Amino acid sequence: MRLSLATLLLLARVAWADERTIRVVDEDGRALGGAAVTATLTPPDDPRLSSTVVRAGMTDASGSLRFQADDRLILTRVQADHAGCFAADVDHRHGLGRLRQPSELTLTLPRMTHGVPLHYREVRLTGLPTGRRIGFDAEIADAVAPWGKGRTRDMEFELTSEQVGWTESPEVLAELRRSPEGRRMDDQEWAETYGRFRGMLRISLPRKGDGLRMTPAFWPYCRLKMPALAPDEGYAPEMTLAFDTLPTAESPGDRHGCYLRLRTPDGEGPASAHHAKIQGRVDVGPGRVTFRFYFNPRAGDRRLAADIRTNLLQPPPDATPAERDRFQASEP
Amino acid sequence: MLFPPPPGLLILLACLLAPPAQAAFRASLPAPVILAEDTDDDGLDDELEDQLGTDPLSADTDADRWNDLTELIHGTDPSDPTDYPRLFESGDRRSSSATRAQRLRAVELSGGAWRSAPRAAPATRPGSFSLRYHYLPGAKPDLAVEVRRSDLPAGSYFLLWDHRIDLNPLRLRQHYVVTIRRDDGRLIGEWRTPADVDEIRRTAGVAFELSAEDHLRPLTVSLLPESGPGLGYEVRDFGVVPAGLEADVDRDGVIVAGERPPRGRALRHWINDDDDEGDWQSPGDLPGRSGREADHAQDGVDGLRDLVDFLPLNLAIGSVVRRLRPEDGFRYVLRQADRGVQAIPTGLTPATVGGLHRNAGLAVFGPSLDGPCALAQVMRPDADGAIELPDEFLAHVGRKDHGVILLEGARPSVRPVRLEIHQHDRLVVATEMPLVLAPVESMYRHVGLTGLARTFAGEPLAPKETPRPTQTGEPAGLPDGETSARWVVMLHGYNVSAQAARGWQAETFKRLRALGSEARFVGVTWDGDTGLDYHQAVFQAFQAGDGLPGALRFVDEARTTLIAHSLGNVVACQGVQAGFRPAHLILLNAALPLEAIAGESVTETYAADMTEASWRAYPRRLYAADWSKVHVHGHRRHGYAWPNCFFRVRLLGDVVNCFSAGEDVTNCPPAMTSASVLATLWAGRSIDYGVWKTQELLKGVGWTRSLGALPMERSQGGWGFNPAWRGKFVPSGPDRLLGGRYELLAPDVAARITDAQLRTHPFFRPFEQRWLHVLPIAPGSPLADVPKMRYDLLARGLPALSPAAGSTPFPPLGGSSPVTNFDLEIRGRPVGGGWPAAGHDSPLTRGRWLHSDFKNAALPYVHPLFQAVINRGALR
Repeated sequence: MRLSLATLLLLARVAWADERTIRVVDEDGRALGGAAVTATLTPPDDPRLSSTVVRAGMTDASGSLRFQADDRLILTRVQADHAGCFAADVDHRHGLGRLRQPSELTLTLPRMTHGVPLHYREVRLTGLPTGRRIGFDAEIADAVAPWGKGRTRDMEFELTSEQVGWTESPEVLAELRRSPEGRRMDDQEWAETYGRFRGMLRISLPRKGDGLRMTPAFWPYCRLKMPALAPDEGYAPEMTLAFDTLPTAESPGDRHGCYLRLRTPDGEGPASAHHAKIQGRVDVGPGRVTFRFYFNPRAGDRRLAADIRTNLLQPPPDATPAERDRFQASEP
Repeated sequence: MLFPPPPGLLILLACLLAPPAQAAFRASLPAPVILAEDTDDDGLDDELEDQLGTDPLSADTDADRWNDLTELIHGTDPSDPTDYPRLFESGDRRSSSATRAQRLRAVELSGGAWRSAPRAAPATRPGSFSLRYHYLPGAKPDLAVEVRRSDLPAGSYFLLWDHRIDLNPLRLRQHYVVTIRRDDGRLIGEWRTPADVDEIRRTAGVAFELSAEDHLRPLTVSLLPESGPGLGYEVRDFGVVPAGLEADVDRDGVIVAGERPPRGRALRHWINDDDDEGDWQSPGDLPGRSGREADHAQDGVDGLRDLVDFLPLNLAIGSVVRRLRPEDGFRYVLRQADRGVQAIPTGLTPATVGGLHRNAGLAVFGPSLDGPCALAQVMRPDADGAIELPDEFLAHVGRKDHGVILLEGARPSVRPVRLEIHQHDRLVVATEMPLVLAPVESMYRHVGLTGLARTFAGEPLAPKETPRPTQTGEPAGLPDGETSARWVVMLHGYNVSAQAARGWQAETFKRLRALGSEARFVGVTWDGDTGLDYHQAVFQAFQAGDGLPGALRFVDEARTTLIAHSLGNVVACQGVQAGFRPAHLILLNAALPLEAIAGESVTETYAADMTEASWRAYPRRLYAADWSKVHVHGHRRHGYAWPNCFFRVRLLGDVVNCFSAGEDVTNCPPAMTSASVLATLWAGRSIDYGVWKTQELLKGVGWTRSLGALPMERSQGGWGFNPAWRGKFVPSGPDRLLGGRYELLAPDVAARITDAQLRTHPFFRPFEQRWLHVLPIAPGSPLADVPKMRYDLLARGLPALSPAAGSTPFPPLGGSSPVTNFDLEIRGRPVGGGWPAAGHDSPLTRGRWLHSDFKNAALPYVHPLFQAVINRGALR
């Protein structure tokens, strides 16, 4: 059998190519046929945009798009879109762009939903004492006095931490300490600034019937990150999060989240409770807790996808610009 | 009792004053009037005299021979004998009594309905008006008209009426004067017949403005005949209508009724003399262009980017247009005496003018005022500076009650823009908006740091281009008195020439200003234009940073927002290290590693990805990045590292890291592991993805491993290997005669190199300054604190082990750290606001916020970022 050069080249090309599969499902795990998928692949160590290779197509009935690509090419970005769903845009933040990759990638597109007006605040509690229960008022998303302006103890935070070292070398610390800024700090502030801490944050809900639970899904590559509706079961009265300030998080954000059931009326059960969510991770450090908090003021309403243009919670008049920014929801 | 038509030479056929809400100028009907009690017969009823404090029993309370009414009409005090009208000082009308005075009270209007005035109702209570006729004394008594009203809210108005002379075959001159005065006598508006009243019925008018202080304040509008032959003429349809020019003075995106600059101030805008194009553009922002290059010479709007250069102006003349209809011969002309403005009619409303800078889908242009900006047609002034407004647009104004035009500055001017209404060839009425048009660079300060740059040898570097001269004094185009006394300082990035820097500064200033910033702006030019040698630019950025505090001595740090883009962040952060402490620091797509601010700990997460491929098997203690750690304390080489290089930044009050995970330049793709030969072919400016990481990977490798190192002046440290630590020789053939190569030292062997060995014989390519590896540097040694040595190593020899802040958020920092992250792709652009396709045509960049999009993308796409900066810095 005689083979032409072109055929040989083609065979060689096929031999070096991998089959890649991108699968698209809805939030119930059902295959989404007809989803438009664009996969962008790049050769390693090539900084030219013109080197990118694109494979685009529609998913089949099994929700899959299969394509051949040179095995040296790295899947760098995948976009998926389907009518009635939030689109996905996946990149290096979500694990792509690395030299070693699985040959199959599954993306979940949540159903499109309209946001509802919620209370939103990026909560930053600082100066929290260790080992004490700090009340948290969900309606105004603030700690109960004296640590904040809250009045109702919907939740309680109990933070314990201990310093286990420093983030910088002794030599660097010595130099920093000699600086005017370093000299101005007292020992506690110094330790909180450059110390390495480990500890636990216990979140408990004192009211009977209230509870919290981790989100059953998190879609970091979609505008809607968590299911729009709070689950109706699976809540526990408390949760404990261990933390270590090192190594630092790669991206403050987006692998976690939890739902909360709050203000369950006595004798009425969860159907009349309020619901809330913490979207993204809870960042904990010595004396401080930060998280993005959404609260639905309508009792019995489990919808927690926010209309980001309407925050029912407004910053206090004396809020600093930085504090005001924390009332600007940017994700539903 | 109805008052009969007044006799006399002046016949007032009808006087109707409709309230503004009723859109005046109804049919002219004689108003029913009621006679009230006036004991002294001076034209002021007793009740009113009680309120005014004049004597109801004396027609001339202060006995100055001017009767009380005449004094009130003229705004003088009827109770003060030294204060009397000067108008008729020498005339024979000077009289102590009004022998033929008749005093009338017109019906009052309240709540939009005519009704008879209650007997006890004060004539000047809020929401009321009254009309009085009064015959001036004299042999040939003329009738004065006096309108008192207190129902006018603050705003701009036209007082309009028609007049004509009955019969004047001899063409005698007949003049009168119309005045509008506050109850304290201050003159608000005055009109004198500009030409003779003739036999053709003409409309006349006067524009006046009521400030907040005048809101619902009692006013007296009076018509007084002046000396003349006493010909009979007719005045009718005497009325006040809201009308005027309004602007978004506070630039909050909404023009509220009557919004005008405070008294004594003018609207300020810049000349549209840059060269914008489309909705995304890299160059083109350089202002001061001439000829066809300048955008004002174009016939339309040059894409969405151009819109920032236009100033919306609302023609609040709907009532007027309906009364003085174009089809009846009225012409509406916009005039600016210096021919400084051009205009574009739009379908914007006063409530939506903000869309100009906030709505990428704006469709308010073209003949039907509902098309995209590509359909916009610029109207140019004629030789007299006049732009006649088209009938179609006036019809729109008549229908909608408003009409927003966009003004475009074409040349400098301090003269107002006027709206004139002409009847045939005669001016009927005109109103104006004070306006100053200035070159944009005259509206802010400039600091040049280009003279600071030195080579490593200490030789001064001549800037490639002459920068704009430093100017720290009050800008002529925007005086400090018209600012909020807050400051914005802007630093550009790498590869920006001195001339291009002018464009970066101008565009940033315009965008902030258009969205409401009242801050004083300072553009800083530094020498970051080093061609392909990025490392040299970093070296110079440190030097510029050292000069920043001194150069910015004139600003109030505590009220300053420092915005730095890309490599400008090294200048900014070094400036902070050197002592400049702004209240807010905005890192915009910062080309500096996270560890420079966040410290050593952040590298634990990222070091593996940031390590050059050949080095990944070796322990970190061998890296140039960690070389400072092998020195015992006191050797003073600890400063030779990126971690904590800018530690003072994290101790400022407010630091915002505006990052974009999808950006092209500071993106650090994990799969990019070396500055390969391929990469070098597109080295420097031609690398269009992951440039920042590429230059980090280029440090120390030398041209033999990467041609990209060729343009770098000094190749040292970094990811180069020290040939002194080579492995075994691998011959190319059976014996050494054919040559061969040395292998790299095996990682397990290299791991056994001691710290003491590394100090003098580093595993990486030794630094150019070999004494760094030899001499012990004692504390206090001048060698320890040579800044240029440290800057040289950071720029060229010490790779960062964390990604650039421009593409990566900072992790939570300890203590009360003020560093917060601002995701440009999520928060910097409006939800559902679209995104330019131009400039984003690669599959990797489509829809992403690229390195310079804060300036390159049209403002409507990125306005939330600028709004956030304004809010953060309290720049309004």
